[in-house]
Amino acid sequence: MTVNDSDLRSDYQRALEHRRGPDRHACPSVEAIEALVEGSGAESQRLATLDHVMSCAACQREFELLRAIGAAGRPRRTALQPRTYALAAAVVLVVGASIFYALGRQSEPLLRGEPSAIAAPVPLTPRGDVEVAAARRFTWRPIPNATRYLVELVAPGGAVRALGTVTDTVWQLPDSVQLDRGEELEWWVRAEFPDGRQMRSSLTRVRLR
Amino acid sequence: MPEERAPDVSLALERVLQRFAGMVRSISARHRVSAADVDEVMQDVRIRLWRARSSGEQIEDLPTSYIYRTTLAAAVDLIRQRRRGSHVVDEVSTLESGDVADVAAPHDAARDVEQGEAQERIMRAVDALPDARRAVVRMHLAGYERGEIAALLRWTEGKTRNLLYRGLADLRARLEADPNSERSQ
Repeated sequence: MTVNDSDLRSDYQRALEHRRGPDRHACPSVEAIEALVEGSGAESQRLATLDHVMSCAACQREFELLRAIGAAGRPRRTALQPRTYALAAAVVLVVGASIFYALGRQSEPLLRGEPSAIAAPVPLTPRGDVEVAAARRFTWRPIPNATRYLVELVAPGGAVRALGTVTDTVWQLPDSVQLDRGEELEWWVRAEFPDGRQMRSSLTRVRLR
Repeated sequence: MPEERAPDVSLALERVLQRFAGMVRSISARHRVSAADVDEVMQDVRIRLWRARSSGEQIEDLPTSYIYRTTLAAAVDLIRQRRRGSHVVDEVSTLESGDVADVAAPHDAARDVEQGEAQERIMRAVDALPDARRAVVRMHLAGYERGEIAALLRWTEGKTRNLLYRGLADLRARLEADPNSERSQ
């Protein structure tokens, strides 16, 4: 009697489920699983890794996590024809040249969207060493046509201490946010325009005394 | 003057992360990836991107390839951490899924033995397949589509189909030739 595909699959999957937890010392390295997902290295090595991964629940879980990330981050690969390679090379050259040109011209602050003559917000206060009380009021130069400003106060580790959205060029730190002497913080402001573009200021460092 | 209470992460970072994490989650959902695993990785990515930003990077303009690399590195680190502590997890999971279940649910020992033997037979038959066919057949039996196998191995659809069909035919032949197999009788 020929075994149908569905039976094969269910038998195999039950067999995997009933296998005892693997001795992880026998499992391929994380780098080998990463190479499998990335398609790098020798095919024989990748096949060997795949063979183990598909027979080990623990490795399969790790593989799936990496594969999901890989699928989200990389464009789908297909077998390319020579003409496609030529076209791709041309596109890479054009895009590369554009990026090179743009990077050469661009400096902070950064504009999102089409280039234009609009200016970036310039933080005014607080900056440098300031009293705690003086560090609760944030001001910056107005930007023509900006519809609103987004202000972020950030701790050195990157955690956001406070965030505000205003239409004015002044933002008062909420009372719920406590500042302490000796703290070092950074803040920036982004101006948003009617078409969705944003212009961001540089980071401004503040030390509380 | 309207104000908002500070969220845990900035809008800028959230926008970038949501875009990428959304894709990861939608793909993960199809393949039994734990949502908690994805969340744990993305939390680590948040921290990494903040650190990168403080050295001058502009979060919102980071290319997808950069986010991908950062996320992959975070996932690899998470896996390494878990492997270092895997002996503890294994002990707990064995107790939870094995011993407790055995006590709680009486079962038919003869049937268990029979199923165990059937499962051993299929594993032996798969193990005996030639290398390339074996890996492809394992993926197929684990529930992957042919297109997914081809994409992972960077093979053409034709090569994948060929190896899979031959592998499955080989597997069936081995199972049917097994004198202990019920299906061979």
